Amino acid sequence: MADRDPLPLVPTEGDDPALVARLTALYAATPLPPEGQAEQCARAVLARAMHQPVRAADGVPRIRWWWGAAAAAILVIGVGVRGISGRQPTVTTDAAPAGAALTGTVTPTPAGAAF
Amino acid sequence: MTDAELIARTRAGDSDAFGALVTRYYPVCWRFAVHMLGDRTDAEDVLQEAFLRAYLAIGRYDERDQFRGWLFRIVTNQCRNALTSRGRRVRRFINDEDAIGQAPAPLSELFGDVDHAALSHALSQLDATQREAVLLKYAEGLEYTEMTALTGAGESALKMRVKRGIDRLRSLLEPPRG
Repeated sequence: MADRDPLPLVPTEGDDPALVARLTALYAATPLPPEGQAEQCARAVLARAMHQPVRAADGVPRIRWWWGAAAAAILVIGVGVRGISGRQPTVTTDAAPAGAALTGTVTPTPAGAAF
Repeated sequence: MTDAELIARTRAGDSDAFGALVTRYYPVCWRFAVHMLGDRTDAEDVLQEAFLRAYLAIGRYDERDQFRGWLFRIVTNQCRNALTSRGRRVRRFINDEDAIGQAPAPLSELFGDVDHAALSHALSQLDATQREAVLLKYAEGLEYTEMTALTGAGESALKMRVKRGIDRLRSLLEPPRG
């Protein structure tokens, strides 16, 4: 039985030197981006990045320094306005003061009374 | 200054260093995005998004990879996203004559050379995955292993896309018979 060529499971890319040369020439002839567009892109990216959470190398969001500064400022202002001690706590109790005499009368509830 | 130095300075918070990386890689990314999308405005938007993502993720960039390849992976993904959302828009507005009239000029009109214009037009007719594979292989000159890392597709699938893309380009560029 004659050997037959195996079916090509992985096709070879359709090399067409002339077409490939045309593609390369087309790519090389692509107009460059307008002057200053790259710099404009960089500026836009950096401006947008200010409003995005930045992640550190381990992927954990990095806390920007001004978040800490803002929190500290709020704390300082809050303490300045109210004082460190703030208001004195008030203590209430239901217990009668020691030594107070109990007054009043005790009325027994009649049997069978409806509440 | 090398890419590694600029990346290290960017990570340390030097925004000028990232600006230098953008300036260095913008033209190559632009060329790819323009041919992938066939539209300069879309390419500009896609590149801004891609560079933003690169900036935000630069802490996770592994120095063992080539920066260009890493960046190209982001650009390729953004081009795919843009093509997907454009597909949705086209399906929604396909009957809107005004929208069609105001559409930007096709990329082929940018080329004075008739041959370039015809090839650019034929390229825009390819399926997006075939166009991506053909551009990465023959315009960017990548090896299949690099293309696999970049696109996430298997090597045999990429070879198939390149072959079909080239076949289709050839048939599109053939002069009409008769």
